[in-house]
Amino acid sequence: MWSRGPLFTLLAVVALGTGLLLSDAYQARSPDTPGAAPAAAAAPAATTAPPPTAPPPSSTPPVPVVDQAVWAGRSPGREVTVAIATKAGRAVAYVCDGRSIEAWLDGTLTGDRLELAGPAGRVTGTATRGAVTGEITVGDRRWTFDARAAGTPAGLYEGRADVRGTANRIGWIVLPDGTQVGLTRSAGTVRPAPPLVSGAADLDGVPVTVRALTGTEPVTTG
Amino acid sequence: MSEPARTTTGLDPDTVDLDLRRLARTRAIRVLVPTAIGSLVAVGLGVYGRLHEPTLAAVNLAGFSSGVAAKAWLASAAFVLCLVQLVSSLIMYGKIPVPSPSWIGGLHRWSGRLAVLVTVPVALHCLWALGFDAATPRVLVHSLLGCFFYGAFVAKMLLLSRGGAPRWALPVIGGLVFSALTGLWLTSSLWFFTTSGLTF
Repeated sequence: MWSRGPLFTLLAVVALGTGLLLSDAYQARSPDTPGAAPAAAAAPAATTAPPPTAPPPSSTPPVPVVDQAVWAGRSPGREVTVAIATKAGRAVAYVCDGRSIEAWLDGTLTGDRLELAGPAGRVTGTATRGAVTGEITVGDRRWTFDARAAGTPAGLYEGRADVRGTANRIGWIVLPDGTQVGLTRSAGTVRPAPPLVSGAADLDGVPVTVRALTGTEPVTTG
Repeated sequence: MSEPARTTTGLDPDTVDLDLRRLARTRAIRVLVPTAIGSLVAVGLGVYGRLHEPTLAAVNLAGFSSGVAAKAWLASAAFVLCLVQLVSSLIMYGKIPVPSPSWIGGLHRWSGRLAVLVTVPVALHCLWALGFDAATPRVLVHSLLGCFFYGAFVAKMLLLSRGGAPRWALPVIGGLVFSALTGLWLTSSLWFFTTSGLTF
């Protein structure tokens, strides 16, 4: 004696799962997101005449999904905050927990694929105009993150100030809700960043030179 | 005089013994086969989650601030439905001293269907975008439970679809499915809400 109800339930789950998996797979290889197109795109080499709509050969890097953008967000457990700025395929990022962890990274946006690295870690992710989802590695720690497009004054800022002959470097992430997360580093020690007010700050009475990062600045050389 | 001994019911004891043994074997098979298939599903999901390169992105649901928030709320919906499952099954088994209404079976079936269907988009996001991971104890426990949950679910559906299993089998597997989903919710949604707040 077989009863159909549970089998029907099982089939419904399998059908829904397969449908979602297929739409995920389709999205991953759709032309909107060229960076995610798998190697299958290069397969028609053996055929006589590739269709006119064939994707460009893999030697040409895919066009970035967005020419210029800044995204800011956090890991789901709020362990770290991250901001990424990109311009013309180049990208910089800053990861910070506001207490002790910080990492400056640079890299590229190829298609929808963000790849950044620096002396302290790396950031990889999948980007759309409005959001980035990805993974942060700092040392041996790892987090996933969600970041959303951040319009001014939200974004990524870098500040420099010489206080009594010691160079200080400050990183700030300003989230869309106005929250600031940042650190000041000088001579190997870190302390909280001073507040950034209307794009300006001062450190121990010394005005800080602040710039909003766009994605093409050198940040990993210190 | 040399007539074989007969029981009071007039059944040949050898035949009864044979029938009982056959019944016991059938019962064992009716538990073992679903369990074996469920185990294969669980292991298969784990292997796929480990081998598939995480894409870190998947089809997102409209109306939520982030994919993670959407997952946390969907999983919470599944968990609430799962509590309905627990209570309705306890009533059906007479463990809660209330009269069992006629619709309790329907409630149990449909809340269960809905619960598991709600988990599917969540689980696929885990599987497709993140994969099986062991980076932290929370993530490892969550990965293991996720694979176990679907294995147990498959086993339970197969167990239900074919009668003849021992009476203890269904409550045990049902309890495992419930425990697995509870563990999954604790290691994901609750963790998310306690760290990120009740965000949508």
